[in-house]
Amino acid sequence: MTATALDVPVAAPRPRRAPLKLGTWWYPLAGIAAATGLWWLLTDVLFAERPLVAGFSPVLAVSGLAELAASGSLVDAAAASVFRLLTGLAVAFVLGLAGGVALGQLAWLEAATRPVQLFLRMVSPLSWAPVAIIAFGVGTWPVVALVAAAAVWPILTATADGVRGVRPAHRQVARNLGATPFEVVRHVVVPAIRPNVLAGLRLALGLGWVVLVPAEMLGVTSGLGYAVLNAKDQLAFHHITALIVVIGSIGFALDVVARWALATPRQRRDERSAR
Amino acid sequence: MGTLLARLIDIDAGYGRRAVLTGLTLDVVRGRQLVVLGPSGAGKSTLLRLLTRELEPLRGTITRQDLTEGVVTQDPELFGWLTVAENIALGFRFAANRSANRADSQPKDAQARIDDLVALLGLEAIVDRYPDEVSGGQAQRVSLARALAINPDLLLLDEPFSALDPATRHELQVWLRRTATERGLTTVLVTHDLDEALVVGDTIVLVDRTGRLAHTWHNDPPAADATAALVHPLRSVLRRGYDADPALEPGDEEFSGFAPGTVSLSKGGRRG
Repeated sequence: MTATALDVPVAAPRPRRAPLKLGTWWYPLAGIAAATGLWWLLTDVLFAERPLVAGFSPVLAVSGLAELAASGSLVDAAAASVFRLLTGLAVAFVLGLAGGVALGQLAWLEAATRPVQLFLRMVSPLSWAPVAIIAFGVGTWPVVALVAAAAVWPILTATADGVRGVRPAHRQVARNLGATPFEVVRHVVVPAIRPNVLAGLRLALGLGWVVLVPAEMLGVTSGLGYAVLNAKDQLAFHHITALIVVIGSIGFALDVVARWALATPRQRRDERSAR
Repeated sequence: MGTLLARLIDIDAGYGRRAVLTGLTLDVVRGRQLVVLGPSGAGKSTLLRLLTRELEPLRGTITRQDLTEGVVTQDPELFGWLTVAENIALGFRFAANRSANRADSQPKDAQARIDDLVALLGLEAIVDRYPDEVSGGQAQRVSLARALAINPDLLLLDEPFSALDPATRHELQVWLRRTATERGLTTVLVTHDLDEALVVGDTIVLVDRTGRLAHTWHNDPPAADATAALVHPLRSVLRRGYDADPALEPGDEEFSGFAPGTVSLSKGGRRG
């Protein structure tokens, strides 16, 4: 038998490393454990001798959480904050969606309002606090207004981008299939802009939640922001830490719920098959 | 001569004041497969836009019946958020919305018709997929099924197969001609591909670079293979860059009874 190029011995391929066989939940759990461990290391080990730092210990936070929960104030504060957030988001959603559709459809409106939009977007929502208090008085509604002022921009911008991105050919196909103008909006424009609106809404949710807590420190007597301020006045650091954990956890949960509630059937199917 | 679905008389059409089609006179006859052949920029797609009433002519008269048109374009333009089955069913959904107030036209057999189209176009394996999960040829089949689902009086095809590989293209061309003949569909296909025109069309009109109708050919039975197209007299016209052959008087040539491997041309009489 004659040797051919194919007979030349080649090095055996290196065995590939087997991929880590960890469940989907293990990675985030490991991340949370690592962050908590670092927190504990800083407050309970490295700076344990400093009372101000040690007061923010995760161990104390757990007891603070239990105290707040037992008193019932935690649920009340969280409920007040979530109500304000969702109300502000609802206002922002209606305004942002309507404005975004108008800006996406009408190029002249976009051109005319662009400088004002940019100006307003660059103003911190908390700067409007005095205006909101003058307009709505003290209490829940100025907080709702500040949340809405923060949350409206991502929804508006994302919706306008989405509407501009709707393919004219898709509208034409729908018309050719007999769609009325309303059906074109319902079956073409709405599904086409849905990913944009979802992305804008998630961003708005985060921004709204971030603005809510400091806004609740401005003259209201309920909510998580007020509870943090109250705990600071009482020098109850473990309550502050517990409240921060609650604020972060609610924000996380709201994002998960929003992502689930606003997912398309396609995204749900892809997520199922990825598991 | 069958029933006239649309008649275009001495049409100038274009965009702004610029006419890309000039002096076009054309009949669309029920049950016939009309192919409009011409170079890019000759106004072929403009003609389809006139037929769908997307565009009004600059001059001339269009008379047409109240038609339902199915449109298939080069890009399938499937809706990415709908599965293949949902894309096909979309026209039914619109019809159902309208018939909610008109009990006489309830589309009771919607699912049966979708199933029929899925089988007709061989889409059984991909009905639950999304458009970005199917091949170009499959996407174009879905686009055809979607257009046929509304049971159109007139199927308008704007270079629907030009982006496909040659084998898939030919397969779909043959399928289209066979299905159109069997189901009595009326089709208007625009293309710059003579081979496609000869496979699909029973009437071929050549639009030259100036947007004028230069020749009309009757291509019945259709060319079954490439050999026929190779020797077709229109080939000489195309070699001249789609300009009319001065040896042929524009507009009145008739090419009938084409059989593969033969060339015969009638002009009043017949030239072989």
